[in-house]
Amino acid sequence: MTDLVLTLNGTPRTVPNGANLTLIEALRVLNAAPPALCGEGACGSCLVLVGQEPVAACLTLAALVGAAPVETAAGLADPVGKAVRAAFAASGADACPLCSAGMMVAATHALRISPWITDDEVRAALLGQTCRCSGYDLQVTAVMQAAAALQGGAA
Amino acid sequence: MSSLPPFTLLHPASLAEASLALRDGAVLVAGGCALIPALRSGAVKAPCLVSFDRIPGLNTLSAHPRSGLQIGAQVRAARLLPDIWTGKRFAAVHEAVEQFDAPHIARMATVAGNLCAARADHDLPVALVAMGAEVTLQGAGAARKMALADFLLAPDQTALAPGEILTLIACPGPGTDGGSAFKKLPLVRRRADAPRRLSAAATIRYGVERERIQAATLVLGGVCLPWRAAQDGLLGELADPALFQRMAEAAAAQAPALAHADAPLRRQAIALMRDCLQQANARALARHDHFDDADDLAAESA
Repeated sequence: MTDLVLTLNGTPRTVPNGANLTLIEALRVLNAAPPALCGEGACGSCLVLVGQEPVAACLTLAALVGAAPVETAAGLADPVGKAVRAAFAASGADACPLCSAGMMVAATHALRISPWITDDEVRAALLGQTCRCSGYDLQVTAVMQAAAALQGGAA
Repeated sequence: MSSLPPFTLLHPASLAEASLALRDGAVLVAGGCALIPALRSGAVKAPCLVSFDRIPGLNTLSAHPRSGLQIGAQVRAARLLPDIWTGKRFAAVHEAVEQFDAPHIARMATVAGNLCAARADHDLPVALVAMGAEVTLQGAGAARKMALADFLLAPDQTALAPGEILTLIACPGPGTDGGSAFKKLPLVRRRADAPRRLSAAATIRYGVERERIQAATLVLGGVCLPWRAAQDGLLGELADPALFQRMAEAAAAQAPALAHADAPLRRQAIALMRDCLQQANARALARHDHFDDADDLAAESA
């Protein structure tokens, strides 16, 4: 059993015996895990960014992450991540503890590519996230609000 | 969600090293999308995993109408999406990736891993079999090539020998006037063992006069591993919606997976295959590659 060092939200963190864990288990050891529901990558609730790419933490071996920076929803600290978290909080889209973390990560990834995004593109970006209650409108509205805020900031 | 059983992870730096480890019972981990749930459930037992991330030369992707489509073993499915030639001339493959259930799975899953899982509900094998893909398997000795249709033996079973790695997937070019299409249809399931979806892919190629069909493939999937229908009836024919309907009906009648299917499933399969043929036909007639026109002009003036 060997320890593992992850760059979590900008800080190097050591996971004891981490080489044998999936990324979601390693994040649990660090008390930074998003909810993981299906364990098959299908629901998107455990989505995190590894080297700027969204991946399902339940399907990723922690040892294969290497030196790539890992970002969770709670650690989205750049202007795009902050705008997304603020919009989710303002609209109440973050009320559900099951899906909102993955939704925010997927939205942040899409808005980092471009904040000039359409409603359909937001829905396509959130296609891998399963919402069990609201029918997605609340989250799509929140992402559009974050996009509008970013466009205002960029202009 | 249970933890993974203990394992050792190896990072070989060459195919030979990886092959050696695989011969001793290790399992190759690529995107992990199929393997990690299988390890967790105990369906696959592997005390040793082999990552091929550090093996050079496997992360290549090239697509061109003339040289065909070549996909290295490390290429993730989503990498095909922004590739212009894949979208234009290998449309069936492009559509199969576009319709992955989740965008993050397309970013994580490798094309090779998708094929090696040999699952009926995977879409890429259906599209790639229709496009006539060939796989290269590299073991300790010389590499061998085989058609993807022969590689997929049965659910969860491929022609990979112990120690072999699928290193390359190659499709021939679609031909000057060729088009392809992939479509899938989620199915309402009333039993856990019922199929999740129907999928179909088709290719159609015209002769130089662009009137009569010169070559065609039609593949059914979802309810079974990719199954190629006999397409002799299409060859030399003029494109006609009634012809495509007849061919789809004939394919549904011959498909072993639909032998005991109920009437609604059979109807859906026929409609899906017919639509695939029509879309492939439309693309074959609508393609426009400037360099092909230059060739035509050169042939005329010669």
